Amino acid sequence: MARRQITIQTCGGAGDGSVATGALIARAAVKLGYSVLVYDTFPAEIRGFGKTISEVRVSVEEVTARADAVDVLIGLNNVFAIEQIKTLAEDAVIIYDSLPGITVKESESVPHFAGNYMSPYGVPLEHTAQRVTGRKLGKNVVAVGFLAKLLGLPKEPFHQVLKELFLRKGEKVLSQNIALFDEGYAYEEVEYRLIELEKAPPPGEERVIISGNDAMTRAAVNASLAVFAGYPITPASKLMENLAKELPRYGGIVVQTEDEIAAIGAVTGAWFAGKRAMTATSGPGLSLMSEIINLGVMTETPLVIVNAMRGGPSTGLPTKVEQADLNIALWGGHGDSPRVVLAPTNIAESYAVLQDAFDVAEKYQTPVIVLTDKFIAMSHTSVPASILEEKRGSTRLEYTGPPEAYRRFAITETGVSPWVVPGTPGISYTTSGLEHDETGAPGYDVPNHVAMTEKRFRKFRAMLGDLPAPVFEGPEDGKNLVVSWGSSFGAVEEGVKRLWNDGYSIRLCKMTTIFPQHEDVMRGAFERAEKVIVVEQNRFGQLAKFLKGYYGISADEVHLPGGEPPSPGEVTEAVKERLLV
Amino acid sequence: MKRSFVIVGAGVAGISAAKAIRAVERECEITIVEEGIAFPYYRAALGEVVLGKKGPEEILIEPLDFYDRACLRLRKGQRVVSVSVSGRYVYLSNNERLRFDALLVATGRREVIPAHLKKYAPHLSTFSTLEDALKIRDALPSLKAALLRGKGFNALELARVLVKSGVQVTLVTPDKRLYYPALPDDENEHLRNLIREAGIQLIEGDDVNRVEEKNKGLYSVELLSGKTVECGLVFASGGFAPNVSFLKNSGIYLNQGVIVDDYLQSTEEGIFAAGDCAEIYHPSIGRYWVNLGHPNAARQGEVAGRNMAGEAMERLEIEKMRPYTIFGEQLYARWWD
Ligand SMILES: Cc1cc2nc3c(=O)[nH]c(=O)nc-3n(C[C@H](O)[C@H](O)[C@H](O)COP(=O)(O)OP(=O)(O)OC[C@H]3O[C@@H](n4cnc5c(N)ncnc54)[C@H](O)[C@@H]3O)c2cc1C
Repeated sequence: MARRQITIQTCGGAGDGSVATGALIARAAVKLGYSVLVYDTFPAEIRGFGKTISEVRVSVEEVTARADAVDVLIGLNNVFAIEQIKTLAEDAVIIYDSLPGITVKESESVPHFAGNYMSPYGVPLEHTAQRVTGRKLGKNVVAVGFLAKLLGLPKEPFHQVLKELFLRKGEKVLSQNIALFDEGYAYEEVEYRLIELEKAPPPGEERVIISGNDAMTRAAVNASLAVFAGYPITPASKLMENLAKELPRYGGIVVQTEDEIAAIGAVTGAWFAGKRAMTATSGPGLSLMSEIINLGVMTETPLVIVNAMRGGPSTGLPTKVEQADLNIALWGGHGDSPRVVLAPTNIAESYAVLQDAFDVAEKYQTPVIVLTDKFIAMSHTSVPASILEEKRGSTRLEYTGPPEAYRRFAITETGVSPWVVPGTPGISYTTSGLEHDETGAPGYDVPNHVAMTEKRFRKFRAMLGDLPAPVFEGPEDGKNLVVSWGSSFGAVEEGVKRLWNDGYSIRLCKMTTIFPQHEDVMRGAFERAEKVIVVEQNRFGQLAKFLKGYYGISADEVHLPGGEPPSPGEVTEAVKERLLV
Repeated sequence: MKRSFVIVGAGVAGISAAKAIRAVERECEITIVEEGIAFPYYRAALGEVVLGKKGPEEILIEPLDFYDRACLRLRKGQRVVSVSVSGRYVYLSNNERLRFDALLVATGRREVIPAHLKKYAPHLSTFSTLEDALKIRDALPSLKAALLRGKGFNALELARVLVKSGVQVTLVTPDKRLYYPALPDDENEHLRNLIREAGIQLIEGDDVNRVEEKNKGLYSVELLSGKTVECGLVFASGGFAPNVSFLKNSGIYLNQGVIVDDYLQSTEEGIFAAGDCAEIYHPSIGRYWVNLGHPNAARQGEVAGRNMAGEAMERLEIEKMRPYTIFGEQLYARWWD
């Protein structure tokens, strides 16, 4: 039976081009109408040093999660390939470098380590590259040629992608790469079995391959971002790198500050001056920003902070995935310091969610933290090009009254005080991190503090309509309610679909807005369900504990282990035993 | 260090040897190197595969989980290209070197294309592997006529299943013998009748002279007599040869197959052979010969395996001629008369 999806992992050392290989496969697959998800893993220390892995999931349906197992391994380096074997599907196919002319011992032989049900195919990768180009470079293209043949895919889309990649490097480089691909495609020396892949639906609208960092770059530019200030940190660095190239073309500026404290300070300053601004960081950086985020809450200054989570605590696992910064995002402030916390669940969603963040931050004059993670930020997927088009602009509630009557912190029904840019002629703009009265002058009396605190919280009720509401799937009267958030939602959704097929009664809830809560909707959902299960990738059960406290419900916590993105199979295994039947 | 057993060929002989070794030695390493990519299967059932009566998963020698359970390393898709007797290594097509303490050659035999038809090889179908059987099965719906040249089991078995599937079959044999393992004259006549009754056109004493592809997948076959036959499948067998060419320069003594003693050991200590590739002295015939068929291969494999692993050596009981089921009838035959 033809497969509906397949996962291909490329593994190699420095200079072997693992990541480029994944990209080549993904781009050709998209041309053929498939949906792809590319997940790269590399060592934390220095990029381009040691073992690098690129994993491409190719599917007839949309995919937002990693697969349960790798079906095909392309080993560009046999020593690393041997290490990977234990992570492969039991019946995986392995394409390895057969290194003609060199006799290898069992301990260095890929097929020796392959399981009884795997199919190792030796192809002279380096040898062919050497023959065609005179260099080792390009052996990955030979491997992709062989892969395309193995999957019964036509050559043309691969040729087209090679053209897109190499034409700018000159005719010779292009024709060499086409020749490398064709050599792999025509390699007949090994007997092999075709891996049948179901045909993809004909490609409809134009699709592009982007990462979460790329999507957020477009989102920010199209949301009229004027200032980006940041300090590099994996997995958020690429967002700054992208913006450093892009933003100046639209009149914006990018500042690399000396640390995260300075970055959030600069962002605060830019918003204070009426410019849309943002920063991007990861856990350790968010910790440093805590103090100034509180200043934002108190002075009602909009802030947009993208926090791409990685494994922690401390510098932790810089290149790994975990959803463990929810607590610091929600509670990392001193005093009563509410802030908006949003979390897109996949790459495509990160575009709209970041734009919402700008709009809500500006309209409600409050810090917004957008939580992504290494999986969303640095993986790549195919999305319709049209979803990256939407433009957003100022949502500021402008002050229109007489200048002399302006009160920066006027108490209103929504809690939002009309705004002016400081320095507007005739208007006195006073603000302070100290508790203040409506005019902005410090005021410590108790009734004032109570009123001001209320006002700051009131905004969070008013803004609910502008924030993505929880999305439900499955039967409304499902016995079990499974709630999830962030990048693991993709695996949870795919896992729950399998459980539906097994006959389980489950309603699934995707929570993109974590604070403020869409309370009415959620309360209703919790009341209808007989059992609530919250699935997330952290040890604390951070969302679960928050929801339990907030709603006074009881819920089962599923803590997916941190490090690698979970697979649907891991989710079903963890959830199944807890389900009411 | 654990003792290391290498078996070349995962046919009936190789698999039964592996089981026998494992039964004697629990701790040793057993590696089976097999050129094909399918899990080991019974060749005798290939006809059923062509007929669509059995799928590839229904003709396995052992269930899929057997190999892990028995702790065997099954190295499919790899061919042994040479053996170093003194170094105790086999060399594989993927440039790998495997060390062995004891080696079993169980590489079976293969059908050879007659020398004068080699130049038409791209047009000729073969029928000895699962891949061959699947190819023919998939071509059946549009196949109207076939021409099979040769005698012997594969040609007859293919003729049987094709005619059963409604294909018009012409069987051409260069002489008046219909079966390689020689049949007594009366049995030969009996077989001739069976073939005719099945509706196969039998042309004896003629041979294929030329094969021409007229359109894609349509061939015109010219016989020596000048007769031409149009068909969608051409098969030509010139007999069988044991798969032992990789041993040519090894020092292991070969005749047509690997010459072995009553213990199935070759002329080299610790190197054994079993099944369709082994040649053993037959006292009643008075010379070395190759036993054919999978019951024989299974038994030889078992004895060879025990002798490789065990302390005491066991002799192979040479059997009389075995009956073969051909066209639903049991006929007695032996190979290489
Ligand atoms: C269509 C057909 C029908 C048959 N019907 C019957 C029947 O009804 N009854 C009966 O008794 N017999 C029948 N036979 C014959 C029977 O299948 C064989 O006698 C039997 O398979 C022999 O077993 P074996 O293990 O010696 O060799 P094989 O089954 O031939 O196995 C040898 C294996 O070695 C592998 N090999 C060869 N060279 C190398 C190398 N250099 N490196 C790695 N691997 C190698 C081959 O790929 C093969 O898989 C039939 C054969 C065919 C083709």
